[in-house]
Amino acid sequence: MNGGVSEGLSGDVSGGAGSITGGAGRTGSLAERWYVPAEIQALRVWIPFAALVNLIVLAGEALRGGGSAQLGALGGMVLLVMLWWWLPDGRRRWRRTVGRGLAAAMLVLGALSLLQRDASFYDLWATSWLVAPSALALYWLSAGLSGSWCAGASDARSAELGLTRNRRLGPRLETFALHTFLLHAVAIVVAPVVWIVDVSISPGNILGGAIGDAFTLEHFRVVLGGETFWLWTRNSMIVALGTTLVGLLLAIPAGYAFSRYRFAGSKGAMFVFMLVQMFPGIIILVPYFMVMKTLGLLNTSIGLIIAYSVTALPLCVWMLKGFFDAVPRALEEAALLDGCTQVGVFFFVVLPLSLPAVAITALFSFLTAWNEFLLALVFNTSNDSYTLPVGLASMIPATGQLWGDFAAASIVVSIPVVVLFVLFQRALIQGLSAGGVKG
Amino acid sequence: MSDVEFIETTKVYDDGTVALDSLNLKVREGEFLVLLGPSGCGKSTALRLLAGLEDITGGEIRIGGSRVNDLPPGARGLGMVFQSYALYPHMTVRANLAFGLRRTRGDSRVGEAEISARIEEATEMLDLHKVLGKKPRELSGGQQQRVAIGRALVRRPKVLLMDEPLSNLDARLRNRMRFELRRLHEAHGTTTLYVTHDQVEAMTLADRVAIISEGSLQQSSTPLEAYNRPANSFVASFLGTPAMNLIEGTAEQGVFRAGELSFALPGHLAGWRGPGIYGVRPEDVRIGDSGDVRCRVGGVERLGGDTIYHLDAGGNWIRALWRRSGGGATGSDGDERSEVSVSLAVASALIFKE
Repeated sequence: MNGGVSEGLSGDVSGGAGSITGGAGRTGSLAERWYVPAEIQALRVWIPFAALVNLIVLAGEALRGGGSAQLGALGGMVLLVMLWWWLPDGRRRWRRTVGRGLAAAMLVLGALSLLQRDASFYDLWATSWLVAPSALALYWLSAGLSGSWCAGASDARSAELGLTRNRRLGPRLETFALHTFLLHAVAIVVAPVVWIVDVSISPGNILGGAIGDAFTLEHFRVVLGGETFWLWTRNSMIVALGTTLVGLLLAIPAGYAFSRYRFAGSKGAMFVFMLVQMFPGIIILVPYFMVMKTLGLLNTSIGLIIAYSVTALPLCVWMLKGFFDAVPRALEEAALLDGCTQVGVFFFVVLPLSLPAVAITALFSFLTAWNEFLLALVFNTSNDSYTLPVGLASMIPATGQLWGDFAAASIVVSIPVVVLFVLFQRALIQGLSAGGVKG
Repeated sequence: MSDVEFIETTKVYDDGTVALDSLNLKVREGEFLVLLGPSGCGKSTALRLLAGLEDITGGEIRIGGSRVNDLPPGARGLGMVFQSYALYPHMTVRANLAFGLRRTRGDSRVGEAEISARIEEATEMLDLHKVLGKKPRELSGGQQQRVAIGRALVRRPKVLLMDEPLSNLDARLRNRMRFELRRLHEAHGTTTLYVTHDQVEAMTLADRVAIISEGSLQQSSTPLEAYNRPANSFVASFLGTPAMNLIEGTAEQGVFRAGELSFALPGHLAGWRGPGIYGVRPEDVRIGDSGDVRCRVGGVERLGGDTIYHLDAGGNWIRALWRRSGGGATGSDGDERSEVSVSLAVASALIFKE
């Protein structure tokens, strides 16, 4: 009974499709002409990606001078490209044979290179990009629905079933591929961090060595136990907090005024703000130095606070103006009628609504000051007035680099930044997206 | 005393636009006065001048007899409902209601106990029990509207101002809130100034309606008076749906001529001489054999209960309204392109100089 129904169905479909066949020169039902197994579709996308990874491995091995590994990657890449070129199309049976041969060859190559290489994480990873694609391709070209499709043994009924199966399987394969890709992206971002953490907990002031082969806190002891580090931290804190405070005190009223009042030159001033942002900082370095020298502000926190606030101000004013613009005027008018003064309106209504923007502005000012290197290097000549970035740089002179201490100090220095980001995360997203809406 | 007086009040913007031109208007104590006019006519400007949200260019405004030109908005003893409601989004409904009361200083200072009592009263009156602890964005349009009214009322304002408060609601809710607003006014008796461009709101809500066009007051009277005896052709055309038929022409010896159209003036207008605008409401146009004007039917709009005929009377387009209930204008049904006779000389017809 079942068979009867399915025959009737497929008969109908192929009959209906028969009349519109012709364009692609293929015959068969609509389902047959459309059906490509999700596995084969996945291979079409994944194989170029795998080839790309092998190319990267090849480049890496060329830099490292690893002869046989280079050959393995090169061979893998060539085989992958060939496999991609001759992937089965569901009609020509020889393609399946060629594809299986190529995949098998690649599998052998992978196994050989696995024997050749060390058992390090990197080597395992590099080899897996030979073994995994070839094993998957071999399996999918040989077995199951996709195997019989590759062999050209697919009929209307199985194509319909296959299309249903694709709807379920396709997204799963996509998810798998996406996560593989994201893992690699994350690894690229995390790798330097892992490296610097490793250097900071490795004995001796050296770069290199295997990840996680030894553990010591000696560098942290040296850094946190020394007086200079705390001196730099104090300098950086004073400068960063001072910049934040001065920046906010200037940017909030300025942003509000630019948002709400029309005055002579209000448009021009906003434009000039933008213009100033476009000059590279180094252009004004020398004039800045002369000014600070004349004012006697070299080697002082005040000098840096003034310089940083002024640098961060334009962007802060722009961000805040955008946010204040989004606060409806009717709210302010309602507050005026409720008995607020203009100042009251600002503090009771506008400012509370703009807290996310104020938060990101504060964070931005703080980070600008906390991370800045060039001005701090030029304005400060004595070790006692260094900020953290300059201090850190001073640990890596031309001779006798203290890599371990440097790495430990870098980690300690980035902790406040990370903490701030975690704390301000929600406000940050709100503030940035609101700014985005305003354009 | 909470009457409001506009005396020669004028507003000219920096770019030279005259938004309000020597407005003279008195709102009596306890009165519900609607400022009605098309958008951009200056009605909102009048309200904003009264509220103190804009500076007065000339003339003065008095509330309860004292000049308020230079008082800050909060000191004028007003409550205002904004078109957008303008509820403070970062405060709960309760905080929204209390905000204005907490800002009061000096003699008018309101204690915490009194604040709670007033919020309770507003909650009761506007049925806000369920929403007191919520933020405005969690409320429906109608609830936001009621909170906005509550916020204006808890201050016990001398004058309540409303700037198109119903225009953001959907049609069904608008009808209900319109009724509620009238009920609230009758319960409270607060002097109210209400701005709208919707003649239905004006007709149903107002004790008195002030019609404004291009910055000038056209007429202030009861809504029915304005409907039945419009002061000029603008008022005549602005009130009523479909709008009054206005035919420009010349009257001589009891006959009105406009292009190819001519008919005898009704008795009460027979003495008119010279150019004028003849006005007759669509529901008063009589279609029937007794008519002395032949028209071609140019179009018919059937609305169910009502049918609107667009008639070509010697080059002048005339609208005639037929009501099924029979209180209306015509007996016979007409089809498009057919010829009918109408009678324009009816007892309710008017004639305007301009």
